[in-house]
Amino acid sequence: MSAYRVIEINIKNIQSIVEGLKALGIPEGEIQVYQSQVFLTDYRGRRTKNKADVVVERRTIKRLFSNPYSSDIGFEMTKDGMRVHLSDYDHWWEKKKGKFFQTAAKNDLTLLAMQNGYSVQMKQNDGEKMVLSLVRNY
Amino acid sequence: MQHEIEVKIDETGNLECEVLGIEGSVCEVISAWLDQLGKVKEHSSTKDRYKDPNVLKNLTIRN
Repeated sequence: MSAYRVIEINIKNIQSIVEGLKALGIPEGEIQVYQSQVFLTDYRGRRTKNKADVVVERRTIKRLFSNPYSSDIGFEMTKDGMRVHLSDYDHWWEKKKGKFFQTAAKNDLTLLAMQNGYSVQMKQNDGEKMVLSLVRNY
Repeated sequence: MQHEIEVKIDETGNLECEVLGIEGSVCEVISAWLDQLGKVKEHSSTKDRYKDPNVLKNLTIRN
């Protein structure tokens, strides 16, 4: 090894938000992508709120995760990357955000790596640390 | 040029990236694309960074 970097990733691909939400157990059918926005829908396929950001309604989180302390949470994709909005202290998000960020970061990294000619393989994923191998053969 | 970049992702979304299989300053160039992912918090070179692969090729050991 010869070069070492630590990068604080800023999620830039909307598909990475979708993958992060799916990793938290939200069914794919409840995630709706519209232009640069992502909406979570209720079980009948309706948007929970018509806002410019992604909003998970209180009742949706309760239904999926049985967490009575959850509050509204939103994701907004700006030109500088993803921003997370919390209406107030959110136990659910504090518990789940690690897996969300890890999955979203993996997706952003994979997309960029493939654009640069690398193949991507998972070497380790033990729930705490995820290790990926990027290989370029030419 | 065949090489591998090993990336560790922690639960905050931070990436630790190391270039494997390459010696010399070229490793910094080939991994520069990773900087597009976000803000670089740390950037350093390991001891292999200072090895010149051309010098090693021409090295002859005499007894």
